[in-house]
Amino acid sequence: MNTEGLVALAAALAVGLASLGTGYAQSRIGAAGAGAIAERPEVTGFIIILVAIPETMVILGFVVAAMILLML
Amino acid sequence: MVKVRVAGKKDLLEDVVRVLAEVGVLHLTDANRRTARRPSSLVPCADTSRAEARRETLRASLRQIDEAAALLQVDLEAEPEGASHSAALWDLGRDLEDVRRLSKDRNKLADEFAVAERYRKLCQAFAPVMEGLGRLRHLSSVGVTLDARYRDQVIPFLRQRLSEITDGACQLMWRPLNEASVGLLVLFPPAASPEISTLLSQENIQEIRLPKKYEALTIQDGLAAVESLLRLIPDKMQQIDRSLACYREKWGRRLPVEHRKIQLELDQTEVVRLFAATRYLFVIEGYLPELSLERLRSALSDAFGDQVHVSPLATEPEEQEEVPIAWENPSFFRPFERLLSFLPPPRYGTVDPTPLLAMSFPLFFGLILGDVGYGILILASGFAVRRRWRQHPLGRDLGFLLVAVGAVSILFGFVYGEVFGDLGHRLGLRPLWGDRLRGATAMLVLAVSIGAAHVVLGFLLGAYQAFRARLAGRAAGHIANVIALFALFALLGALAQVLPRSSWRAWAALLAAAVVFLVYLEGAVALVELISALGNILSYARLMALGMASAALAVVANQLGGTAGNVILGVIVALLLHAMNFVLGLFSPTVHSLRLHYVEFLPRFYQYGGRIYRPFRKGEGL
Repeated sequence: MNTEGLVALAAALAVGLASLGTGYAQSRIGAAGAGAIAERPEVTGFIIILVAIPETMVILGFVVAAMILLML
Repeated sequence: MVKVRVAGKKDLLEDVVRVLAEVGVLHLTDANRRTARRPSSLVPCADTSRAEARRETLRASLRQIDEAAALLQVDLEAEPEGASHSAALWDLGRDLEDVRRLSKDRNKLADEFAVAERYRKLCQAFAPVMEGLGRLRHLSSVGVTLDARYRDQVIPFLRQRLSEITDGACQLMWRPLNEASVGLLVLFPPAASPEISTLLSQENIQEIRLPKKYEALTIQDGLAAVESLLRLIPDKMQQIDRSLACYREKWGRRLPVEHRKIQLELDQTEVVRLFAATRYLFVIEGYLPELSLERLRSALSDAFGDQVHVSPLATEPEEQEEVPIAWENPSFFRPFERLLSFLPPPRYGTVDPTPLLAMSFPLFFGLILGDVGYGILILASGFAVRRRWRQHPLGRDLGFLLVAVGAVSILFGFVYGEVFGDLGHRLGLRPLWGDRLRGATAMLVLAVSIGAAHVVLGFLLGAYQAFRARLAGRAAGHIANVIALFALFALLGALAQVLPRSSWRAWAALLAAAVVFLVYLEGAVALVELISALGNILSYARLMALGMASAALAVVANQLGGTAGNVILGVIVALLLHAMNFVLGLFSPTVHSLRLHYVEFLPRFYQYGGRIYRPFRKGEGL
C-alpha cells in the first residue's frame, strides 16, 4: 500500500473507531434514557442532551482524521 | 427578593389569605421554622379538626371531578368559557355513577367488537376448509392468533403438546392472516377443553373467545353470531356515545370552573399549615420581588387598614437556601430562559446565564448551520410558529428562538457563501470570509478559539461569583486556570512559530507557575480540572465538524440531483436530501449548542440548588 493509502486508512480508523465508541456509549445512554422518559416524560429534553454527550469522541476523531488528511 | 412578615389579628386570617391569593405575589415559606431570631411565643397556627374534615371533603370532590373529566374527556386545564355556572356539585355523584356504568359498557362492547373482528378474520382465513368442518360438529374448537415471527417455533410445539393431551384426537390448522400474524384453529374433543385452555394460558397464547353465550356454538354458528354482533355493537356504542355526549354537554364547562374553585379553597385551607400564631395574632412569612412590596402593602391596607402589618425581614444566613429565584430579563432575552429549563434552577444571588446564552446560542447555531437557504426556511418557520401559537407562551418563545437562530444562520450563510450548499456559488454568491469545505484548518482554529474564549469566560464568571461569596481561594483557583490556559496556548503558539519562538521559555515558566499555584490551592485534583478544561475547549471543534458535515451533505444533495439524468427526478432527489439535511440542520445544532453550554460553559460558574419563585395565587397550587 502506498503512503496515500496508509494516510487514508489512518484517517478512516480515526473517525471509524471513534464512531464505534460513540455508538456504544449512545446505545447505553439511549436505552437508560428511554426508560427514564417512560417514567418521567418531562426529562425528554435533558435525555436528548445526554445522548449527545459521547459525540465528543467522534467529533475529536473527525478532527484528527481531518488533520491527518490535511496536514500530512 | 425581599423577605416579609405579614401579621394581624387571628380572626382576619381567612380574609387575609383570600387577599394574598388575589394579589398573588407572595412566595410563602414556613413561618414555624426555628431560627435564632424567632420569638418563642410563636406556635404553629391551630389547624382544627373541622378544617381537616373540610379539606377531606374538598379532596373527595376533586377526585370526583378528575374521574368525571377523564371519563368524559374534559380538559380541566382549559380556560373556563363564559360565566361560572352554579357551584352545586350535588348531582355530580349521581351522574358519575351513570357515566361510570356507560363507560364500562362501552369498553366491554369495544372489547367484544375487537374479539368478534378477530374471530371473523380467523374464520375467513379458514373459509376454504369450513365445508369439511360441518361434519365435525362433535368437536370443540379454539382459535388463536400468533406473531408471525414465532410461527416456526410455536406451531410444532403446540402440535406436539395437543397431541399428547388428546391422544392424537385433535387437529391444528394455521393460515397467515396478514404479514405480521398467523391464525391457528384447533379442533379437539370437548373433554379436553380445560386442559387445552390451561396449556394456552401457560404458554401465554391468547385464545379468541367469543362472549360466554356463544361459546358452545360450532364454528359455523359462531360465525353467524359474530356477523350479527358486528352489526349490532356499533349501534349500541353509538347509543352510549350519545348518552355520554349529553353528560359532556352538561358538565364540560362546569368541571373546569368547579375544579379551580375547589382547588383554590383547598390551597387556602392548606397554606394555614405554613403559618405561625400567638394567642391573638397570626404570622405569615414569604418572599416577593422588591417592586411588588408596595402592591402587597396597599392591597392589605385597603382591605384591613392598620389591622394587618407587612414588615420586611433580613434574610438570615441559614435561610439563604430557601430564597426563591425569579428570572428578570429584558423581553428579548426571556425566550432563552426556556433553554435553561432542562437544568435545575440556579441559587439565589448567583449569575443568571440567560443573557450570555441569548448571545452565544444563536451564534453557535449559525456557525454550525451557516446557510442562507436553510436559514430562510427556519426564519419562516419561526414566524409561522409565532403566528400559529401566538396565544401560547411556549409557542411564542419557540417561534422567537427559531427566528433568532434562522437570522444568524442567514448571516453566516453569507459569510460562508452558502445557499442550500454550493447552490450559492453556482449562482454567483461569493463568501465574505471563506469556503468552509476548503478551509477546514481555519474553521478548526476559529472553533477552538471560540471554545477557549467561552471556557475562559466561564472561569472568569466563576471567579467573580466566588469573589462575591468571599471565597478568595476559589476565585484565585479560577484565575489561575485562566492563566494556565493562556500560557499553554501561548506556548503552543510559540512552538508553532505564530508567536516569537524565543518566548516559549517564558510561557512554559508561566504555565508551570500557574499549575504549581493551582495544586497548592486545590490539590492534585486541580490538574484534572485543568486537563478537563482543555478537553472542553477541544470539544468546540464540533462547531466546525458539524458545520462541515451539514455543508457537505447539502453539496451531495445538489450533485446527486444533478446526476439523476432527468430534471424532475433530479429535483425530487435534491429536495428529499435537502429536506433531510434541513431536519438534521435544525436538530443537530440545537442539541450541540445546548450541550456546549451545559457541559463546557455553565459548570464553571452555574450553581444549582435554587427554588423557583412560585407566588401563592388564585387557581394555582402552592
